[in-house]
Amino acid sequence: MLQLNGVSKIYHGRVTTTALSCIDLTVPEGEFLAIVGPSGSGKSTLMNIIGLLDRPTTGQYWIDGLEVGRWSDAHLAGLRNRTIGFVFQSFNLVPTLSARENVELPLVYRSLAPRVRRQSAEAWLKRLGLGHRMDYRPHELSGGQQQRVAVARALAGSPKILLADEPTGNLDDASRRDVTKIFEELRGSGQTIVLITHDAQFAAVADRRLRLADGILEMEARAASHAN
Amino acid sequence: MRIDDVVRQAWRPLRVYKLRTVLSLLGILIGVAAVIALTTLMHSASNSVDTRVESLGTNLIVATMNPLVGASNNQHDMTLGQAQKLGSLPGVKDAAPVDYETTAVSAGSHNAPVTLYGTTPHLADILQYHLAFGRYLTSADVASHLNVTVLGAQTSRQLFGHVDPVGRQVMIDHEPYTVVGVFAAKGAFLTVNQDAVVMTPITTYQDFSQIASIDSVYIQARQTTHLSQALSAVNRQLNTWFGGSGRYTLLTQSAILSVTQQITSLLTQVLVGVAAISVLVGGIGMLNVMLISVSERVREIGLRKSLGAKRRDLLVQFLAESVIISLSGGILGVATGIGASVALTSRFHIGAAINPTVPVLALAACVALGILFGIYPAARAARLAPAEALRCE
Ligand SMILES: Nc1ncnc2c1ncn2[C@@H]1O[C@H](COP(=O)(O)OP(=O)(O)OP(=O)(O)O)[C@@H](O)[C@H]1O
Ligand SMILES: [Mg+2]
Repeated sequence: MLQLNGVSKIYHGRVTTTALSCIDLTVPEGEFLAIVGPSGSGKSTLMNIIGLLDRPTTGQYWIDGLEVGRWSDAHLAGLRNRTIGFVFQSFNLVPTLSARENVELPLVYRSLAPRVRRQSAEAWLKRLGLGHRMDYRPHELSGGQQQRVAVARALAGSPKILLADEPTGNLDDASRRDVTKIFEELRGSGQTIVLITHDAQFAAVADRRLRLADGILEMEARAASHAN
Repeated sequence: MRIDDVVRQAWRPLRVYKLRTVLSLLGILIGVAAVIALTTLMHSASNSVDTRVESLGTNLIVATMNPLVGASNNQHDMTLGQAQKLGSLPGVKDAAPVDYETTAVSAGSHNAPVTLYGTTPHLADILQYHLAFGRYLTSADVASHLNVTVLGAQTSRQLFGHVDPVGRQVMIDHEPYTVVGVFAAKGAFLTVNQDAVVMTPITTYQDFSQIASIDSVYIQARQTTHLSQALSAVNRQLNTWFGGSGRYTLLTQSAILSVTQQITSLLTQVLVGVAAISVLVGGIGMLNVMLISVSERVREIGLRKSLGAKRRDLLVQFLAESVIISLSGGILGVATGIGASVALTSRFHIGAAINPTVPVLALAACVALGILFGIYPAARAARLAPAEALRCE
């Protein structure tokens, strides 16, 4: 499903930072992969490259057997829209839109008819327990509710890949358990998932765990799960 | 992306961020309204000046004797006979000697400030005064040095109210005069009120002022086509009498018109400059508001891109947003500008002359400016990689 070959990312800002060096990674279809690692190790950078939000400095990247390195921005936007769903640490809902409209947004950019996408959005919101909050705007929802809206938005377009960058990072214990449970349910459904988290319990839900340290990917996380 | 979704996505922030919307709208509105009001006001004022210069009398030539300077070799003054003789020159229809002073006229306890003219029967024709009551001065009045007078409309109203004053007595410079007629109202020329006047025979005027010389003569050409013929005939005659040493000045109505037109065109340029500045200020106000709103929304732009929005989708959304703002601001501005024009011109008692190309151009310019300024910040933000835009705070 996903394959990275020798991918590195170097930021040329005021100082030059190597955020990722020579990452080789394969994620088969239907796998739930968790990536853990200390702060600043390059997890978000890797997530941005996997999610086509940023381009690698070197290396090749295949999605579904297609090498996307030379694709135009517009083509990448289309590919993101159809195949990738995002959940961010900071929710990232559009503040001027209601919960339902936020969930509909990826389908808006897919030019779906309003009636069709409305049904899909409402179905997902109900499934995530937000049937009574569909017309609320983000600032009228709790953090946990906002993150559930974000999950609904990521899944409403039925993407092949779900990417989540610390989705529980800004949540209290109860909301964290809710979101963890949603991901647990998704594992069985054949959805390809890449999850980044600091939370060992959350990472334990995944099929496979990888550790990122200083921009280098290590398999050692498996040992950690054996210790559990 | 569907077109109805473009409108929906563009409309929502306008409704949610009402203050921002109103501020940008106001910028455009004020710009358009200022351009329309200023140009219309200027246009109307210059039209009104032109018609008033024309109302002074058509085909008019004014011959004025200059005061004696130093030891001139020709010290003659113009006599009444010479002044009347100018009326029979080729191309000339009428000539009226005019001498005047500002004084006060009274009737009973009522007083009115006036310009007192000593003249002959032709002046009313030349200056296009029409009678409301009674009669005008006659040659017999002039020949017999009679104490008779014709009142201007305003003077008559101030002294006698709405009563016909013909046959009543008025006092001018402590001398009694009999009112023989009243003029219809004529209006003001520049700041000269043409209705606060009294006219008396030139002979009577000279008797009281003890001045036998004639200061100026108002001469009317037969036709516009005779104007230059009349002008050169008058010039030749005056030259024969007084020599060419600057003893007299000839002024035509068209010369006055061209002076006033120079003044109004200068004023127009100044006002157009002011209007252009107000458009620019309005546009910059809108640019400012849009810049702030976009930098506030860079994250949103990044998010929308991560959800699959193409650069074009975002540009179209922000374009629609600024078109809605600048078009509605522009249309409100046209309405306000026309309203202000009508109010101001009626306040100054001049006819509103609205040139329809001005509102159209102002609207087009402001909408173009608004779109340019509205789309530019969005275009910049939409070029960022989504990851970069999402990192913005
Ligand atoms: N835009 C940027 N310009 C320069 N350096 C950057 C940029 N973004 C990230 N970095 C650097 O790249 C490294 C990896 O950053 P990244 O955000 O991927 O870390 P992370 O693993 O997601 O950390 P956290 O767990 O705190 O989110 C960091 O050292 C950071 O300083
Ligand atoms: Mg991170």
